[in-house]
Amino acid sequence: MLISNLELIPGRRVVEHLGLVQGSSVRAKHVGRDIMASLKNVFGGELKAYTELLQESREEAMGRLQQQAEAVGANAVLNVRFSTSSVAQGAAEIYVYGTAVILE
Amino acid sequence: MYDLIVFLALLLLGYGVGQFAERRHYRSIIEREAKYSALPAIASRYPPVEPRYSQVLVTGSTVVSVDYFKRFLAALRNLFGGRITPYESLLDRARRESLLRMKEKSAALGASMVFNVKYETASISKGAGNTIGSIEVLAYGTALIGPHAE
Amino acid sequence: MKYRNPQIPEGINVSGRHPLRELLILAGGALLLIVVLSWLFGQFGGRLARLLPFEREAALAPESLLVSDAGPELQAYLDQLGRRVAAQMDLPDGMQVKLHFSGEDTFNAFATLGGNILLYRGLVAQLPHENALAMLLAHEMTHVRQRDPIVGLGRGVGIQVVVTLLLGNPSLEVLGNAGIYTQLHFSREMERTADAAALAAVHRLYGHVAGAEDLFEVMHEARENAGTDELPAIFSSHPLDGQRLQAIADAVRARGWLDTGATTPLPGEFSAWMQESAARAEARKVSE
Repeated sequence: MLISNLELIPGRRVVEHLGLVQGSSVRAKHVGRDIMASLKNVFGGELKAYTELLQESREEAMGRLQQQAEAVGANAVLNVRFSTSSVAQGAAEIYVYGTAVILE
Repeated sequence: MYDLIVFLALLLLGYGVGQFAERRHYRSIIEREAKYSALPAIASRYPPVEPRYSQVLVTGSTVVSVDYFKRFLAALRNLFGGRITPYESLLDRARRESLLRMKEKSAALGASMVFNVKYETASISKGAGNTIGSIEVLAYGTALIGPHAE
Repeated sequence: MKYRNPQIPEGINVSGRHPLRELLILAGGALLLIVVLSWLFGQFGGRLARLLPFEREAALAPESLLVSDAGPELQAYLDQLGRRVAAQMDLPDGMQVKLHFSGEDTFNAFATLGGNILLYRGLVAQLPHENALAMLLAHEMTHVRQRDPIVGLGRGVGIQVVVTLLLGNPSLEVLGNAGIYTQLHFSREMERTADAAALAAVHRLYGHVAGAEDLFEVMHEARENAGTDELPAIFSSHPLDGQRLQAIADAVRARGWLDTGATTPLPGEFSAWMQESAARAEARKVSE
């Protein structure tokens, strides 16, 4: 499945637009990572644990996006956008959405 | 001893009422999605040039709040890490509801499609301390009304 | 160009896990984690606290609580009884016990830091004879000898640390109680040890243990009269009255001690002393 944030794929024509598909993921860190992060607040540096957490979340969201696109019969998702928001203390929601299309 | 009892009572209340409200909301959402399936919402930025349509910016927004049971489950999840499942359904409902409200407004204007649909999520009050947290989801796009003959 | 919105199936963006099942698993795991960590940190805190030398404890004692409403005769009587009991108790060198008497009506007695023991008129006036009073003194002195006050403080701090670290989130405060109930388990252990050692000391002092259980009978009666129900053992810092009496009976049987004998009566002026201390307490309160 082609997933792209381009609007138009050069050389391929869109035959049919199948509407909005989306994937989302809400994940929390565990308390161990929290404590390490507080320490990093003192010493500085990249919060590797959080980076990993958000990366896993993004991959899961993309997986769900793909699942939805397959379910409506598309073979590509175009114009993909990401959005990250903090929905509660200690939890971030990542969602991805785009247009499911059938490319010829 | 007594705060344990109060806590359990609140938890039960949150669970019971929350689950009931959620199921009812989902039924309504599925019903309305079927109703508006003829009005497509597309995330693409390039509407068809021919035939011509007139355009109106439309929005739909929803604010949902977290019940006691979901908040407690999320706090427990914060200890162990992983997917916060109670929030997934909450946000799913909020997004679908916002999209439907946007479609309702478009249908009222006589639109045949909504283009360039985008979402915005904002946390209204994160629920610090013991206050209730709430989340707003906004869906917006351009409704294409027509087609008009040239 | 066709534009359609086919229906998307449910359940892709939502995990199908049942909320109640998740609650049980997560809450169970969290409780287990807290109980285990509270126990560990509590033990650690207790061990650490024990390292503080006894002489330094006195500086931490709550001065405002340690009132002295006893008249000179009552104080002298208490001190001599205290010395006789302490002689049977094997207190280490450098450990001094100071007895304080409060004329207030509270039904209680406790040992605190620095070897200070506070007795309240509300409890002492109800005791029928000297043996029961000696049992009470021996019980509190055992706490001092075991260094229970400072160890209890250390354990409490340890458990607070765990609860704060893990449960910084205010929604989870209710789980903090699990840590406290773990601490109460320690406290009951201390009380059991104190009861056993006090019984042995009383036996050495009088040659028999008659009258020792009257202390607990008095406590039980006072509770019944007050109409307060005993909390279940798990929520209480002391073993149940019934359990304590049973423990005495078992110890007597196991060691072959005499549990009959003449009990030594309290001095004749005892009730006059009690009233005098009550008056002093009133005067003290007024002047505060």
